[in-house]
Amino acid sequence: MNEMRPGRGSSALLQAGVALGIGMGGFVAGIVFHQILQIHSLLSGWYPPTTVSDIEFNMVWDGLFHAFTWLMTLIGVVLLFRAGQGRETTQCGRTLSGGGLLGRGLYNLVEGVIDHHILGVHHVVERLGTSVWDFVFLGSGVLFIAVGIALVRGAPRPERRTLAHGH
Amino acid sequence: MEHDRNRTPAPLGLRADRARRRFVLRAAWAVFGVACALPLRAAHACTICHDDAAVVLRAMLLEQDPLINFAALAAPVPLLIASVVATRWLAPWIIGGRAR
Repeated sequence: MNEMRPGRGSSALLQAGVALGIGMGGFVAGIVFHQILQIHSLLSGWYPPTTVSDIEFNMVWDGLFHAFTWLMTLIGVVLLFRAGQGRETTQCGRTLSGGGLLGRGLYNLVEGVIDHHILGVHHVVERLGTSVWDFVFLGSGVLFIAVGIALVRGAPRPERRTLAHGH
Repeated sequence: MEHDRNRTPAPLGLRADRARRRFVLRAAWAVFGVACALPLRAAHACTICHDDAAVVLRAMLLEQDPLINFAALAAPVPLLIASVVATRWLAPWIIGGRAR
């Protein structure tokens, strides 16, 4: 089966990159926006953190959000490990980092559309409500996806970089 | 060893395997549809209440709706998981024709 699908190592690496990108995208959003800048929490649109109990409540749901991003990163690590075991896997940083950016962009797009615009569970800058920053967030998602795809397409051809497994 | 479909009918085992794959694929799409729709619908229903309900009712809802909150947390997850799975299928296009 493997010999019929040249380049599936690149696909596996790309998939691992996308999963890692989604997980890391969640971590960046959680750490930078929720904790360092404190401009929103996961449910701050529904439960404005104006009292200590509301802040505690938001902290719990931020923790569950981080648990999801941790799981997604774990899936990415497992996929990367499995990709590394494949005979045709290419050691290509561009494919992995491009996949990561692609995943990051997908995270921004999906999370932005569903959480910011459809459900309104939070907005990028909560005190402003729906603002230009929500659209900047979506735009950054599109940009990440475009740059990610460009990076992957610009990667060296896999046959030159194939790992030597006992060859 | 791939079966040559132009010459002989596919062996029974291979046909069964194809049928099983088709069934799994269809079931996966059905599960994906439900997985996408349910949390989104549940959480969206909550936004209606949160927008329209009286203050007292809203306060009550805010205190007692962990399932709705979990639905909101879970709403983007099926699409994100699906995008990871779909990467394998879209890889030939993303990579630019090198992976088939």
